[in-house]
Amino acid sequence: MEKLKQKIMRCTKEDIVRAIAIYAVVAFLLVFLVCPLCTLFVKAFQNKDGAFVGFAQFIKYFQSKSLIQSISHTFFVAIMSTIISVTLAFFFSYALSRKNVPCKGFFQYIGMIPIFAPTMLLGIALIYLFGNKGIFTALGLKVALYGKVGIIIAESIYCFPVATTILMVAFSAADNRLYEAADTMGTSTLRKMLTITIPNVKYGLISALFVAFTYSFTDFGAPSVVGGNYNVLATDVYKQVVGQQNFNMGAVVGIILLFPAVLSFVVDRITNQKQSAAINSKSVPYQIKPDKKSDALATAFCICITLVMVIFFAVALFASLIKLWPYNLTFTISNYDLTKIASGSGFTAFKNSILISLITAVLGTIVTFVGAYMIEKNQKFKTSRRIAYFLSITPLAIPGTVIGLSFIMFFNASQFNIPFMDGYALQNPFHGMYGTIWILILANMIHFYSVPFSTATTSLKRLDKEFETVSESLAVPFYRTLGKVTLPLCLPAICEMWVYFFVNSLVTVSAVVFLASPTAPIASVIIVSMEGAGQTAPAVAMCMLLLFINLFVRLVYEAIRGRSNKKK
Amino acid sequence: MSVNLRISNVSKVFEKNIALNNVSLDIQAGEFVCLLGPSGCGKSTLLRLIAGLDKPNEGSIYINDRNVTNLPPARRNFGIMFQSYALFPNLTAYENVAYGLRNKKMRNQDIEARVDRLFHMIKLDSAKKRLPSQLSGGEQQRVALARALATEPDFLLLDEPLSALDAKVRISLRKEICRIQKELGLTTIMVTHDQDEALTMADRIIVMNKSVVMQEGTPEEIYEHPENPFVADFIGSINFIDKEKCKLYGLCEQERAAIRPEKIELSRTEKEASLRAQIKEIEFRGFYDRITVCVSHGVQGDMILLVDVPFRMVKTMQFRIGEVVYVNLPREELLGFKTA
Repeated sequence: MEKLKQKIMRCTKEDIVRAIAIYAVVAFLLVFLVCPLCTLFVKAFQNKDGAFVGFAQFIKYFQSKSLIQSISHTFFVAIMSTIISVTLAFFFSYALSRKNVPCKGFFQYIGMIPIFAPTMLLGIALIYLFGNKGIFTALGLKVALYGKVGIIIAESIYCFPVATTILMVAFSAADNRLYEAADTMGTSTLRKMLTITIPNVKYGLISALFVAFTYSFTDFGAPSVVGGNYNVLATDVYKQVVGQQNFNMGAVVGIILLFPAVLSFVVDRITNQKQSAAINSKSVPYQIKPDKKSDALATAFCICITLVMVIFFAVALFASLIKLWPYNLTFTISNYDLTKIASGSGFTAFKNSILISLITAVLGTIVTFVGAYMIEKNQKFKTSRRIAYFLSITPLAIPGTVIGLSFIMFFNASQFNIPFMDGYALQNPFHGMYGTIWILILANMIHFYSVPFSTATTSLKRLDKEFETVSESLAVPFYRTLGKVTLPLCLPAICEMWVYFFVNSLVTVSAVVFLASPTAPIASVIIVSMEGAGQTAPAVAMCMLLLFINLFVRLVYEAIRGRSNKKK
Repeated sequence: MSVNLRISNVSKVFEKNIALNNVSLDIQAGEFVCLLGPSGCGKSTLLRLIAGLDKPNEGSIYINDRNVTNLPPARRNFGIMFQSYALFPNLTAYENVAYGLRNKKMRNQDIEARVDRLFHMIKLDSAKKRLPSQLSGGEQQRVALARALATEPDFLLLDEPLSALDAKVRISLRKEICRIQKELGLTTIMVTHDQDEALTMADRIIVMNKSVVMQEGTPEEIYEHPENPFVADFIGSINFIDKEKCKLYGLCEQERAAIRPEKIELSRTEKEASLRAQIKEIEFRGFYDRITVCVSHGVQGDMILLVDVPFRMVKTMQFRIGEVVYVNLPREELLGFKTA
């Protein structure tokens, strides 16, 4: 009897812990994801004084010629950069996964570099290459850089790594037996490509197209640097909100920005499920057959791609190390003197950026892992788990610009009027965060929530389900199993999540550009303003610093992973 | 048209692993040959060399006395079936079967006629428009067979075609494959690790182990007269009796003897030359019982034997554990091996 009582006591205690954890995650997402988005939606249907105006704002928007123009601009550059980046990524990942290319790891890493740098770096490097005083311009290669050309080139490079990552996964799932069967029937290389390879990577290809489209559709960094007068939606929002303080019109543009992202999100979800169904346990991995001609062609292609990357980053590095391009080419490191950058706030901004990235990485990893654990390894709280799962993958569909916009509206309000209940207002308890680094940390956590969440979920799914059952049967509380078994086994995934949060938080600009204030400046936003003010060299130096830190973090991570792999 | 195949002194090495060690084989036109052996014995490698999917390090392969060792698979004119079916998942069953014909640039109506005939042959007329994922395993494998036959190949290669299927489907497909093979008179080589499959389907079995051929012969020859202990043990069940016990019980003069469980007679009455034994275990096996008996002769002479007793006899005799019985080992059924 006594024992039974104890058992009940322990069970309930465990349940309380579980309940607190899952409700905390749901509450976190409700407050910092759903509420800001709701604020954004409400704002879009209100006028400046807060009165409900229906679709009036939208109508006004669609009547404005320049805004309509920016929609067509955005579509044009997004479609072009999608086509270019995915085509290049397709051949790049094809070469790396299906051809005998030497130093594959090297090529792959170089191809990934743009992930580690702010997109402004690509824009600035472009200016050094093709701008009015650019290297290629001086050599006689004149390109109308500022405007669509610049944006398309920068976005193509920016989208290239993510498209490559998706396609590499798609190419890795191949059944060699299909190729052998085709070979025995005397099938031409072209026909094998059309009937086996492309159908096999079809879903990966669709996914890459949509993700690249969303990236370039919503990016802020590159158009802000090389856009010139070519207005796109992401820069429009910024002008509306930060320039003209027209929050309501900003909300309208934000909602328009949401459409392709949500569509891409839905397509990605559907294709993901189909992709996993395409391979089965009986498949035999693809075996690369040596073929001198096509191998050489593939290697040449990889070299070209990496060369472009290397040129971009080498030019940026070079530009950051000289006095004044192109007039005074003497070597200097004064551009890296953070105390002199942006009238002294450079150092604070840099420090803040690191601090924000560190805190985001730690808190983000904890929250996403706990969330994933509670959703994956739990039998109770069915509804809460479903809500939590849905909310956890939603951020993938929200462009950074929209997150920044909704955050500014949500945190800026000192009180919320409750709809249909005039006279009642709710004090905003989060108003105090406005203007501090915490709003930036929260924005980053939400912005980059979904990918680490998926990483955690995948690694938890891979663990034996019986662990929990066994520990339950042994009357070991779940948190002990979590600490002793689950966490150590998921450690590689946790490191990966941490790195993802850190790397992205350090270079992101789309969300935080709305939120960084003079009291809490951050590096990526400072870069935008410095570049705008013509201080290109210090801006590019700052970009390089961020890139170096990210590369360093990544290398440390790779080293740790390599060592733990060896141990196994 | 059917062809004969000759494999002459073929060796294949994978990164220091010898997969085939100087293997030679002759396969007659129209013959159904099974390559049988445990996993890793080299049987699949041999099939892949015949197909041209891999190249041998040494030796040659001849089709109708023409050396094809360096020909690509497409120019050897054969059909192949894999364990994993390897149907193109994005193409319908019809398009899968027509795949090789389209490579040959045949006219559409000719293709249609031939594919229709093949679907009729595999009895799947209704499944033409379906995708592989909408077919059962057995149906997929039949489509794979039709695809292998579509280009009117000179010979057929089957790489464990039935091992991924359920027991019942497997047995019905065995018959199906044999029927079609005989109908077309097609030289066929099948790789399998399933002895029942080899015994029931093949005209000739080639037993392989550790990269070499252990024995070749008809199913009866392989079963009744295994040339070495490996073959005896790999195919069916067998009792091995070592040299000392052979002498002790006066069974034979050879180094090592063996006898299959169903060849041993079990009775309650003592006969000439029968041995006294005690029943240790009785295992129900459906249409027979496998009984473990212990023949004792002094202290060191204990000999454990497995005896298969047919169902009818089990019914009438009602053996019990612990009971003393007499076993008779007919001398003509004893197999003798020189090497241990």
